[in-house]
Amino acid sequence: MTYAPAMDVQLDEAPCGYVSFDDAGRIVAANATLARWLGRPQASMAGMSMDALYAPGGAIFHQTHFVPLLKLRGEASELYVSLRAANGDALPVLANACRHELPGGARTDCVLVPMRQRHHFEQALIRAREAAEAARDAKARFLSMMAHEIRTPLSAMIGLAHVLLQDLHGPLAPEQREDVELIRKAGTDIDRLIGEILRYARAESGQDTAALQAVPLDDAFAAVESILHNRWQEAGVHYERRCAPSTCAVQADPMRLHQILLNLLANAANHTPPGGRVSLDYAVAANPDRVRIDVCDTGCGIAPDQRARVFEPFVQIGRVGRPAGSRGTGLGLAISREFALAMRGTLEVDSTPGEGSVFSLTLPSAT
Amino acid sequence: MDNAILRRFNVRASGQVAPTLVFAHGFGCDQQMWRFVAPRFESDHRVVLFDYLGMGGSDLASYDPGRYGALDGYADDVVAIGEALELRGAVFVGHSVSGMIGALAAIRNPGLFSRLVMIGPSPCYLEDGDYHGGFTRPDLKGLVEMMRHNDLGWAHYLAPVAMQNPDQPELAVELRESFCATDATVAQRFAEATFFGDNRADLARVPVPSLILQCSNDSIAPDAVGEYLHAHLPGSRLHKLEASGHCPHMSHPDETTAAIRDYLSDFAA
Repeated sequence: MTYAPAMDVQLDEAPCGYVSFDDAGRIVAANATLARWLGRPQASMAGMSMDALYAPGGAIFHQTHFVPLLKLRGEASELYVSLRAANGDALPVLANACRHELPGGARTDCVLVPMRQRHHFEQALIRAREAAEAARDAKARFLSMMAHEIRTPLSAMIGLAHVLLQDLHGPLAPEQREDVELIRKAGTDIDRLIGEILRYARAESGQDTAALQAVPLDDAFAAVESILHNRWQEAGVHYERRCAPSTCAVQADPMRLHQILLNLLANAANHTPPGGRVSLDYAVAANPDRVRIDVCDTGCGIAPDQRARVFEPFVQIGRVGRPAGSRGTGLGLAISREFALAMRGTLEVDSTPGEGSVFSLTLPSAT
Repeated sequence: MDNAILRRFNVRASGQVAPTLVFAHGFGCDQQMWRFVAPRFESDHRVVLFDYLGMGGSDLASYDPGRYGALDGYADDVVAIGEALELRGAVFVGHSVSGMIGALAAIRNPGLFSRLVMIGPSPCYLEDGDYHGGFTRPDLKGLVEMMRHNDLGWAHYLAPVAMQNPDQPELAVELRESFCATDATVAQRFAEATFFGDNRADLARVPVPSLILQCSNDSIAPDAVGEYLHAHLPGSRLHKLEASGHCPHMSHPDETTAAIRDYLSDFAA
């Protein structure tokens, strides 16, 4: 094995390691910098096997990954390899290599840059990613558990209370009826809360895929209005749909769109004092491919510093005229925003404290 | 022909109708490793290539890590592929750990293969008393560490690249996108199954003859391992290649092809 001719001093002392080896993994040349990093006499490196430079496991990696890459692609870049100095110290490096077929046999030229600092950073990244994946799996298992284990007995409770209320086990005395009614209501309240939490968790983890289709706005609006029909009277609030009938349509998942509109209009009803106004309108946004749906109210408004928080989960801001005894999870807007994002849309709010708020849902146009 | 299975494992068949050669890649890459050797058999054989699940062009979506912690899962897949192709008496050519996978498959369904060709095989990679497999647990830990760090950077290998092979221009085809960019979980499981496996006890039960191609200076499957295999694998022939390293089918395709052909012709009816 002949040592390569004396190396150009710039390469020899460059601030990077250089090594050249043949297809058998025998080192043909190594620069002074690399020899110094490895704590080996430079002259001793020629003829040495690349295996001797690797930390444990590296020799396998060389044969199973590095060699095929070099043979099939002729090069490898940004390859992470772990070397080991003569004294056993670890030397993690990033390698760029290029394989040349030469008359005397192939040679691979390899430049090495140490990445001790980045190595720690990457380790932290890898751990964080693994932790995130484990957390995501744990959450998915928990969701599944909740869906079955908690809701099954809950359904039984609600169902049996209902059976009792129907006098199917004999007539109930007034006090009994009152109590069973409370049981039923408590059960349905819990069921609703669990439903919301599950819905939010699913939306946030992206588990349910949105089924997008062209949804005519008139249809979507009419569906929501029919459900909230009596709400306005109860709240003493005037509701109107400002826009004229049209053929305008959005690209959306009908169920999610329905949920968002329901959430926004119900919120408006809850936040607008008696005598106030709530309106529904839409506009084709500046970008002609998007449609913006606005739900306006003349409620108390939202302070500027609270506006960002209003979409956060489990946050409830400024209740005005809220019916006594009802509680929420603070998830409605968080769910609505996740739904909007899942449909490649946005949900935003603009507000003037004391005057009212406008919640704007923007979605891709389907017209 | 069960086409679902063939699609699942990205099975590619070419060449003549018979006799059949099935090429199985080893740890670290996919069927593309055979591109210097497999085509040379197409003129007089049916050549079958495939990717293990989660590697190369096979179906990553259906990968279940629980099944692939040991070599049995991979062997079951080979049997499934063989049965889908309705093989009888085919020749199985396995590189590295696929030597053992083929052996296990032959034990499970003896009719599938008439002979096994093992390139750089090893029945056990770990040191065990007098048996020198060559590796220790820290080696495997280091390997997995290196693979994980490279997983962060493999993303850019997803771009197709023209192959560099000036001496064989007929093979200058674009590499498939996911060359050697195996999913980290899949790769790690395969590494564990390969390097923690111990199939020494299975050798006596292998029902068909085999050829062991031993490379010189193969740090993954050293001479002593090849000799151990030869001594314990009934009906085996040991042939030493001049080729060094662990991938003679890539680095020395001529010698490798010749060695396989010689062996096949010795058995020709």
